[in-house]
Amino acid sequence: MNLKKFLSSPWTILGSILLAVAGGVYLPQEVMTLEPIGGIYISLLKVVVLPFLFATILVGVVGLLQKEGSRSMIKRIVIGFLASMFIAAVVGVGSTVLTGSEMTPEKKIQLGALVNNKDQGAEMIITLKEPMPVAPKPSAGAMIQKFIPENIFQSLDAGESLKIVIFCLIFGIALGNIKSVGQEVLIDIFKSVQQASISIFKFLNYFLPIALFAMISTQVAKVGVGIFGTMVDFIIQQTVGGFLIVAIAIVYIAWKSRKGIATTIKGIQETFMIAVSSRSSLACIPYSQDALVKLGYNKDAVELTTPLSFTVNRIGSIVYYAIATAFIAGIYDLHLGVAGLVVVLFGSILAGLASAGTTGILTVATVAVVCDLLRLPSEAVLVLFIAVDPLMDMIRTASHVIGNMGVTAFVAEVENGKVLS
Amino acid sequence: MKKLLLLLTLLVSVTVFAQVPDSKVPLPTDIAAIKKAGKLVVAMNGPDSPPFFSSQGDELHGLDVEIAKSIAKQLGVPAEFRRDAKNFAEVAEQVRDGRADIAVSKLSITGPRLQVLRFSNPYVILRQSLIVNRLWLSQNTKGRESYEVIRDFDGKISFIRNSSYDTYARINFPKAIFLPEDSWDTVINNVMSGKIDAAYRDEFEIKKISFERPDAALSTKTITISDSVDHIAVAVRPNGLQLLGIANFVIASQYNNIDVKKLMNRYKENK
Repeated sequence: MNLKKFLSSPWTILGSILLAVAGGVYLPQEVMTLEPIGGIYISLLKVVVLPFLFATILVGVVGLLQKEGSRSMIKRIVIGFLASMFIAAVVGVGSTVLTGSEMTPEKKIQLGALVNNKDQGAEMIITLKEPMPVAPKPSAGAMIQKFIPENIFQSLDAGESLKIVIFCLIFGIALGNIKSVGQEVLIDIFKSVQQASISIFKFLNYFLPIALFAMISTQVAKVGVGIFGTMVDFIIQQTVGGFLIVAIAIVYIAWKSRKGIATTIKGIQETFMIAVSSRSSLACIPYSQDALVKLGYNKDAVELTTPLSFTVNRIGSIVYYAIATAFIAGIYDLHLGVAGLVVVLFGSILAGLASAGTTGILTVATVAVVCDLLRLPSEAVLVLFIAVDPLMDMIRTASHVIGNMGVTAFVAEVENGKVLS
Repeated sequence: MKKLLLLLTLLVSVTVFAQVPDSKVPLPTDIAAIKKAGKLVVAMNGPDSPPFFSSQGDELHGLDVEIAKSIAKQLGVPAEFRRDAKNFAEVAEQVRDGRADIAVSKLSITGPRLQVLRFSNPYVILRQSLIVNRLWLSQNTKGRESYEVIRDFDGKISFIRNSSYDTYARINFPKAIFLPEDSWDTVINNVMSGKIDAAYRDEFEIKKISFERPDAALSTKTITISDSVDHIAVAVRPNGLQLLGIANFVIASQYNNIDVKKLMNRYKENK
């Protein structure tokens, strides 16, 4: 077997994941020295993602404007987003109901000791009479502002993907509407940028097994085995939630393309691996597009829908928030009746919208949006969530990416075959 | 020869004058009584309160024990600790009623106590602190900031009965429902279980909870009030002014400026 084939074989990738988990558990200090390798790999992936994203959205928008049926596609995007967010919230609530475990006093003592351990010196200091420094409250204006690009070069520099996508949509619509020779030239240039980026991604793929080992083993080592045991209920619930989303998306993609489950899984496995290891949905965009197009979905529609849905439609986060809120309610012995679960359902969607454009700890902290609705304290438990987030982020990114591939499949039509609707 | 004689006279006169305070001038009454009894009776609360005072078998340890022994040493008598007081209020009463000469028992200076006792300069200065049940706090925020909820506290607050915090609570949180308890452990258990909404004591005791009850961090939140004080001092009877002077001297020379950090270090060393 030649080296290229070996490196891109799914068995090699699976082997490196298993080795990584074992390495993270048994040799945590040794594998931490590999952290820079993972960092370099993610940087290399991301360095081409922005030009690729830029080119792809512009080409997609212009292509769409030149064809008929753009209006119906926009309608489908909106329906797809709303439906998928609702499904994500239902799955989140459903998996807590399905796997819900009793919060025993022993478990609470373990969790409490962990909070105490991680949160040393986090006391709050107030005054009774003297004036307190007033923290400015985030306004609704600030919420909207994070969608509006002010300086596109600044946004590119800061990697604000949400603003970049919105700029590209505006610019693409403008570009598609001007009638000049320049337009075609520009589109051709962007198509070349797109192809060059893809060839770089393909080259990077050969290093995936090594990068996977470095990234997953360091994440496992960071979380540590101790907290893993204490938070096992939460981790299981989140895994079930993520798995359900991925399964629903795969079944839908396979059903619509009529390619069969096995072929579909094979087609999207690479995207899945990149999602789990890089924890960057942005880095997954080129892979997911390639996979969907190969499964027969319309190229223009795929190229336009994926960047938009990956940045705006936070499926992974919605599932996460629903499960996390139910977990917090369990800790504080708050029984969520049907009414409570409905609040969790819609609150998670709201939190998902609010989390657009955030990453890492900020995304986790947005769980406060749902908790505030239920008047639940999220602060102390947040410490626990952050401690296990290296693992949770993998699940969140995977369900987010594969889920949004499902949304894209809903929007895009299947070519080379009969379209089902 | 003349010089030698002069030196001799001088030596004799020094020894004679040096004995003056013992024989000719009578001692102040508070000191005289202690000397006569041959011991300094120190009132110290019954329940242990490390690192201030705690017993291991027959031996007493802690900051307050050291201070009391230093004061007794200045007087040239041994210290006798009486620990039959069940709470801080009884410690204060023992000194007031003359059943003890001095209270070295993590006693806070409060308005009511100042009316019947004399306090030394503080040897420990702490801020006042609360642990609040997290669920209660988030359910009662009603759009306010957390500090506003505390300033306007109207929930159930608990503290040690007749302690300084019994006094402070009624001054600082007039809208609260007051639920005094005899045991601090009961107070902590109640705030963790949500039976009460907040527990009130000094910042050191509140910090200590995280070592003794690490699981409290999940259910409760620690809030320290920066513009509040809790002065820990030695107390004597109103006529014990001479003894008070000795206590102040011992504190100024050996036990000055003890803060929550130093207390915490002492506490951890003993653990």
